[in-house]
Amino acid sequence: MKKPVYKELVAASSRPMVLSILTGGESYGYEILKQVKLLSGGEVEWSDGMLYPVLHRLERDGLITGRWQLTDEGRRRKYYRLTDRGKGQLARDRAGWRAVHGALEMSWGGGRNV
Amino acid sequence: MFDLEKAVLGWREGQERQASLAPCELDELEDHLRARFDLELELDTALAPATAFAIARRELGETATLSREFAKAGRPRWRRWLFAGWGMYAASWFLPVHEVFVSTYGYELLRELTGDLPDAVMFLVMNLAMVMTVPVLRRGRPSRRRWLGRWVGAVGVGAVGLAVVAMVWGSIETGGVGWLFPPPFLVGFWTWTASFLCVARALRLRAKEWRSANAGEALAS
Repeated sequence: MKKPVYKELVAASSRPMVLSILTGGESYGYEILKQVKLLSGGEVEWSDGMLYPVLHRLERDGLITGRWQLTDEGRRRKYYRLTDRGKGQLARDRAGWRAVHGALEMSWGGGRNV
Repeated sequence: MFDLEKAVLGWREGQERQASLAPCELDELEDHLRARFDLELELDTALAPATAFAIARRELGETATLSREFAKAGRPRWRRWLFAGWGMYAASWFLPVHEVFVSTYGYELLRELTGDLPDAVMFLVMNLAMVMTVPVLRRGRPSRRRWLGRWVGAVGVGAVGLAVVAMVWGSIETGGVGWLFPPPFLVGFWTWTASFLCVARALRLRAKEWRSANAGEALAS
């Protein structure tokens, strides 16, 4: 069966998704991936390795910032957190997605509102 | 008996060989690989560790795809090396290159060469290699021609070798360490040499990335 959330939609929503998750505090790649799965009830599936390029792009754009830390097991792990610029971008993304969502909801309401 | 450390090392070596990922990018992926491995064992306690590792590795993605996606996400590493190399190359023309009695600047060498044909040819052959990388710099296009990278690299390594030989030979000739200290080759020469090594590294990384990307496309099609 074809996935309801296809890859173009997953790609388009990746930025607001990551930024939204990071509003809850600092997190790292694997944890973010788990959150995505949890929040979407498993509907949105990101392949493991694809998350990191997204995180790096957001970091390059100054929307998030990363820092390396040692875990209890002595492993190096990179934690990300939202920047002020990222908060601003998230607000814009949220408004945009709400507008699209609202328009679609209206158009699917039997066409009366179109 | 499955050895996780050995398996991770093998995975990492494979990535380093085939992909153009930076060490810090590999560190992050390695952390993810280990976390995923732990999760697989937690979810199914009967699972063999080797199988859990194979799943974690598969879920992380193909080397080619990872390399391509990382390259798309940010300024590729090869580009940084290329720009650094070209920056140094440009700067080297305005820096003192060598000193016998007086310092000679890079641009002054051009004037000196007009009277000596063999030196002029050698000079041209060396610098032509760098000039030929301009299309890569301008369009960010990959160079499939490995010989260009090898040529640029050979000039860099050759220049270091010749400088060392000249200095040692000069010291033997004078019967002391006069040529070694102070060295006759100045900052401009070393900057010029380093620029070739940087650009050679850039071309090598770019070729690796190009191969990875094509392997990925071949897999997808």
